[in-house]
Amino acid sequence: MSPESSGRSYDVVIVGGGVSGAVIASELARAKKSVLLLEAGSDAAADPVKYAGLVDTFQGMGALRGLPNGPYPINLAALSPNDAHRDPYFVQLGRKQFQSDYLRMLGGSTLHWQGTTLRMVPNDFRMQSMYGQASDWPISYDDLEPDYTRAEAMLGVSANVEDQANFGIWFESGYVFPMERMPQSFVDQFFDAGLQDATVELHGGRYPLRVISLATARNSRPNAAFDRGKGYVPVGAVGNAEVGMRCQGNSSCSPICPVQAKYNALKTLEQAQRQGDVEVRAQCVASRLRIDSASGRVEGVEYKRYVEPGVQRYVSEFARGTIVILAANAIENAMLMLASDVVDVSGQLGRNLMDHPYISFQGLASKPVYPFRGPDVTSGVETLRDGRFRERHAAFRASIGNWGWVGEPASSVTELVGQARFGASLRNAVRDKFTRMVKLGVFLEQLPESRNRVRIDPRHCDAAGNYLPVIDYDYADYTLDGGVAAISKVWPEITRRVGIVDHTDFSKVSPGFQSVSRNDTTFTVMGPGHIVGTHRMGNDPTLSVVNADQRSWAHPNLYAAGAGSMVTIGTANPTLTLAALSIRTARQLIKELRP
Amino acid sequence: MEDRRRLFLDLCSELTGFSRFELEGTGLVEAHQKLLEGVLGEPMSERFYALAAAVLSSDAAADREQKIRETLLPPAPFWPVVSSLITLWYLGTWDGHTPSPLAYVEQLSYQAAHAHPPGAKPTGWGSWAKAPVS
Repeated sequence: MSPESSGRSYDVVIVGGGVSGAVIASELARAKKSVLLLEAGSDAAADPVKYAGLVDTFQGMGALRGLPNGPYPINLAALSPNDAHRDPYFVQLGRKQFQSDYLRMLGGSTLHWQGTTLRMVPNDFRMQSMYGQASDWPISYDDLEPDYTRAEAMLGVSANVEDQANFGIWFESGYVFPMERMPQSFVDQFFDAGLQDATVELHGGRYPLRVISLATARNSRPNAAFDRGKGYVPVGAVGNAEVGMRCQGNSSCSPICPVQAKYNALKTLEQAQRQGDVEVRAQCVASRLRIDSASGRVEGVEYKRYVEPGVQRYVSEFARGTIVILAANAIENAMLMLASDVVDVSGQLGRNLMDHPYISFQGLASKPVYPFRGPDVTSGVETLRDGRFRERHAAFRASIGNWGWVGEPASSVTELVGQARFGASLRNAVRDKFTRMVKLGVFLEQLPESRNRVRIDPRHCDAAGNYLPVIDYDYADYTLDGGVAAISKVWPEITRRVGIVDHTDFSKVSPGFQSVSRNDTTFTVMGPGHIVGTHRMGNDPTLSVVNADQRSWAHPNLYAAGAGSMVTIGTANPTLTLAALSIRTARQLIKELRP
Repeated sequence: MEDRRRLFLDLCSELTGFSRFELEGTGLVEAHQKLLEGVLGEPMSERFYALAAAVLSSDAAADREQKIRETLLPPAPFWPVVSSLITLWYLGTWDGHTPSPLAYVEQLSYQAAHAHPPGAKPTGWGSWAKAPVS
């Protein structure tokens, strides 16, 4: 007997309480639509007292402190990928591990993200036309531009237009961001001073290497000129509005900002609930879409509610909506559609899984640069995000790391003490090394490949019968060649110009990294949590899963929103793009729901 | 007990390279001392403090350093405990565990680096754009 609903029918049922679901709920609430949002995980982070407890957990974690999901409790009733957990959530069947993680809690991965909010460059949307690679999106940068602008307002982005208007990225005349760019770090300035005329030769010519401030969803100095002079008021912590209205340099953005100066989706959810008819139900794991086979319409969402986070005792319930939106991230969206036997003419559902394989370079600066202060990333070497070399190999962007090397200070202190260093000699060695640590994190683009996929398999379920993500994943030469270019040309030129002694050791495979090889070059990469592609959008139902508004081709009232709809990943961190796509979808929904 | 406190503080200063005042400023002296004595137990603590007293009896810094090398560094039997103690001060962990939030917050590694531990003692808006004041 199927679970029956509590009786109420909503305009929209949203599955997933991350940034995509929150943004859609907020836009719909403003338009006076009724929304039910189901979140699989707990809503603990929305409670200021519990949030403070998460910060305490983070401080007490020792060596595992750097993990994105580290301080967030492992919840057996709604598992997240978590490196620290003994039983991994992903079932990895591919040649390479899919290493990125996400967080199934109300607020989603924006609880643990770094906060970088870059627009994609126009050519990211037309890779096939420009470079003969991948496919073109059904929409262009120009189509999405107003939604990017709205996303920047909703998330609260700090940046200057002159830094961001590169590679054809354009803004409305007179546009200013809600807040000014974050102050560049002392480390950034050191890189910047050395790279004034630097170039690198790649296929197609010479390309500049320049340090540019990053746009981030992090509270900075408000712009009085924002929104035609209306100005902007930074949004502070959820349930604690006076706190977090300006970044104060806690240097723990990922995994957790103690004051919530960094954006998280709970802020948008709180706003949505204030603005209109939005009901949020946490601890509700969506298990299946109920689809009427005759009409193809989705009647609603069957879900399993649990009372105790971590305890797999579920009660089956059903939520009815005129429209159903999946906003649970690229992997969970695909899994739910597969579990519901959503019609997929294209065969692309679950496929084209992409990430940004991330290479970590580290070195010692020629003079103290005083890292371990401020947000991890405030600027990057952003000038290789596009160019003719994309005919041959991946583009990439490179964040300058303000937090020293991976695994530090523990790794070096342990080593020095192990050498029986003590007293002033130890203190000076620690000072001399740590004050000069620099890091550069390279994000390589991946192209969509149908072999890279997530699927479900009844043989791979947890104890309560929830599907586990079964993943096939590998890196193509196109991406690895981008890595080789970074290793053989870009990093050496940067270290030479800036004055850095390289201390990158790819023979050491740090936790969370894996080894890859291309010809004679072996290096290590990890997954920075940029999960896209599994329900790609398109104009042709035989080649895509959703249309340009993220509506399912097969089921007229079903939408799959978020990074899963992205056709290519480009080099931008995907959050701003997925938020823009969500805003675009919300606009379409409001039209559809017009009485 | 007061004598042990003084010996503990002075020896930790020799081992960490931070002054007595800097260590007292962390608020962790008593807690770290209790942890150490708890691990050693009583007869061993007695022996440890006797060694500390011997090290600290020399006025010249170079002599104290030499005595530390001879009696507390490898292959001395107390070396594992001494290295754990230095690590406790520098990283706020004993055997991989953080004994208290304060131990994390006041760990000396970040102080030596003119920085601060992630999630605590924020250095203030814009501070990362300049060299640290101290």
